[in-house]
Amino acid sequence: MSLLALSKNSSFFRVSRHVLEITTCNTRFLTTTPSQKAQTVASASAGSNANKDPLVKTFSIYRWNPDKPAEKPHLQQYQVDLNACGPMVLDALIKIKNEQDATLTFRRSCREGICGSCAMNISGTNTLACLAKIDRDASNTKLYPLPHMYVVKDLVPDLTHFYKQYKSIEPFLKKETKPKAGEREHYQSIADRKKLDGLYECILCACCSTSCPSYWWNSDEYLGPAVLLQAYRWMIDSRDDYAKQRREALQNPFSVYRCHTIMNCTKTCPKGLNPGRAIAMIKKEMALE
Amino acid sequence: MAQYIKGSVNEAVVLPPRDKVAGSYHWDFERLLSVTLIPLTIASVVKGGAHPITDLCLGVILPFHCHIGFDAMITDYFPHRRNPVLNRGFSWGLRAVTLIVLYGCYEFNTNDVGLTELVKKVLCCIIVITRCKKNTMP
Repeated sequence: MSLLALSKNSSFFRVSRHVLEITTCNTRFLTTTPSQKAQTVASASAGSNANKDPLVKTFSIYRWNPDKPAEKPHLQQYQVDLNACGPMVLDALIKIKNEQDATLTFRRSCREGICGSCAMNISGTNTLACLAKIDRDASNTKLYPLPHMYVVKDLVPDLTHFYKQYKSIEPFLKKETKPKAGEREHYQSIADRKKLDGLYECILCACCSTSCPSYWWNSDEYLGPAVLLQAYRWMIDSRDDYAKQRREALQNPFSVYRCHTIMNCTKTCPKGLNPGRAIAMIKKEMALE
Repeated sequence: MAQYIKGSVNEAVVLPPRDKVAGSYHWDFERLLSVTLIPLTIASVVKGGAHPITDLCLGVILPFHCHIGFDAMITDYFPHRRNPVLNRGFSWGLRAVTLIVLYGCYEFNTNDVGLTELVKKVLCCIIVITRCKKNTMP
């Protein structure tokens, strides 16, 4: 027992000496000096603000609070120095939320135009806020939620019905027969894959559907350009076996035929897609049946 | 324009019942009428006078073409699911008016100049007016 006590004591001393060594080692690395390159970059960005005069522009943003529903929706003005802000409308929105009004509510995620969250009406046009450059010449930029949509709060629309409509066209591959035991790939030629270009890039931001007057008046039953673009994308996919059934599902006066080629959809698509043409191709394929 | 959610948030929208007559056949017929009107109108402008064939064709196709156009407007702005009474009222009113117009075209073709001559006169007048405006514009 005495031997055990001795050994325990010695190990304790060894540990405590280790602790001392570790703390002294750490203190040597606590103060860090920035590299020279980092210093010049930091001074340059700070200097760019100091050199330019503040370019202050107004942002008129639609505000409505569901917690105080009796208060009518109104436009609230915010002043933003564009020289201390990123170039896109989303940068201005985040700046306002950070510095001026934390209650401003909007959807955003990727900040690069691929997720479709920040879709809103900017100075009369439906686009993505992260891709819309702030107009440095205009004195006032108006931000509204997507038109003719129920508003959850401020700039956030309720897209539930839109997603339900997307689900109704069955946006997934449907094959007649199950794949055999050894086969795992559905082969597709390069020419057939090319047909999907301009259709698969849709991010379902709802800019096009909410720009269509037919969708405003008949969103209950008219599917809208976004959903119809995707319906066409699955109709012409060479791997899909149910193209005829997909077309038959649209045989009614409302789902497709409320489109009167107004073409607001193609004009406003922030990804440069052409839903109007896709709808025309659907009508053409349905006409020949 | 109430937009309410039928069923749960996760259920797909139920598409309306399938009806080819109201769907693609209706669209085909509408385009067919529009397409036949093109050569008819050109023929009327080029060679006016009283041509019984073009008179008859115009007298039938024009009222139907206009009926389909107005019917599309009624379906757009007063759909049956939202305004059932107005929809029915306007639809029947439109059908009555189309019948009257059909009778009127018949009367015009038999007892008056005829639609071919009318189309020629109207379109020539439009061309003349636009040309006059172009010449007098500074």
